[in-house]
Amino acid sequence: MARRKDDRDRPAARGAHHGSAPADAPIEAPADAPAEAPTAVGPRAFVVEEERLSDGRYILYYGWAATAPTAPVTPTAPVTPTAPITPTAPVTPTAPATPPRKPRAPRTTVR
Amino acid sequence: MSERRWNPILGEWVITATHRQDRTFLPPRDFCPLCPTKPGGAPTEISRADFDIAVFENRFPSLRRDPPEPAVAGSDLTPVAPSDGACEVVVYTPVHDGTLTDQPLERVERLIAVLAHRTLVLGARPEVQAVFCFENKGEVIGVTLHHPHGQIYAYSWLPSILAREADNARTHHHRTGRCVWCDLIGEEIADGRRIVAVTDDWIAVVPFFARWPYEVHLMPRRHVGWLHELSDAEVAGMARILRTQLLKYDALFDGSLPYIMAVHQRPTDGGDHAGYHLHVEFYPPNRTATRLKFLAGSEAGAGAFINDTYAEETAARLRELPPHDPAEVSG
Repeated sequence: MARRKDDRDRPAARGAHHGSAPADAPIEAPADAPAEAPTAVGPRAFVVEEERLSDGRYILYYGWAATAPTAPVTPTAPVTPTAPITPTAPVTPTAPATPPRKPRAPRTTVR
Repeated sequence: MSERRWNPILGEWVITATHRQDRTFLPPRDFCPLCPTKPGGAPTEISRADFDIAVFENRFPSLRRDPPEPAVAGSDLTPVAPSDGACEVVVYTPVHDGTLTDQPLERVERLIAVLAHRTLVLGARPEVQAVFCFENKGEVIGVTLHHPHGQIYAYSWLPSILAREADNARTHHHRTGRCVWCDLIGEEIADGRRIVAVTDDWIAVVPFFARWPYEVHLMPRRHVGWLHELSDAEVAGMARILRTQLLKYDALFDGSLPYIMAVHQRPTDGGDHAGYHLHVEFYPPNRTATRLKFLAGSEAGAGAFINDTYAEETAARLRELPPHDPAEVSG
């Protein structure tokens, strides 16, 4: 039986760090990222013909729309909504914290 | 025959697919299963005499819709589960000879559109948590068919690397409000030393933390999670920078360079992945023209990669190879 996408009671999901912030929290982008977010129009590819192989597998032959769809494609996958990108000040890199150095053990000389 | 088994120590699933031992292995070109079936010739997977790009279910899948029940019983500690999902083969062209590098820009754009469409279709299936498009190139990578093709795996769980990426992206997003890849792109552009090629929409870099000597990541400069979110201009830009990178790779050691190409897209599990950014990772195994990097003790046994090169130096070498500007790429 197929599992549901919201089924988190799986071993693979145990221990995963699911944050508490909303999924549609806005993403800030570096200042030099393209500011204008063009409308995603979805792929121009479409299935021209579908065949079944003798063992029941499918094979899909692809064709292309000459122009982009006029209306945005609605993804059929349950996608995470994304907010528009808001350009912000340049990113100030933060150096990772350097762990304190362990004291070096006194060197012993074997005679 | 096929199932997944839980490793409670590493916290990950392992796919068992014993039937793949019998898969077609480097057949003579007249028996290539990815060529169109020729009149009077051996039947192939593709009955049509001609096609543009074709996608079919793998004859030897590791994952499949409605998989059989596992052949063994698991336990609470080591559960076993059916191998739900999909394994598809993407045949780039009816022409047997050549590689992705040889495909004209228009065909590469169409290939990107096909991968985007398959991501939408497979990602919509209720059991599918992640759609992973990839290509293995070269016998040293384990390729069993030479005809230009890639593969798509649709997983019913989030595999370890994708899960780690998603977790770290989420943590960074929650902590900073930003996307970790967008921040990396900003740093790479500010630094410049690891950039291999750049366009208005895309950037190719040897990442600061490269594990393989000539590892390269391609990233859209706009925050995009899936291929189907790319604009027409961004698809064209992706084809151009992809072909630029492939031509540089083949110029590197004056021959067709083997690689793994991994397209990482936002998971389709409906989770909190707003901070996940589409990107393409290349892992060529060569460290010189004749020497390969192997996953040995530290890499395979401890998970710590050792890179014998500086990303800044390999990026400079790749940058100097033709084509020098993605705008020069034609065809």
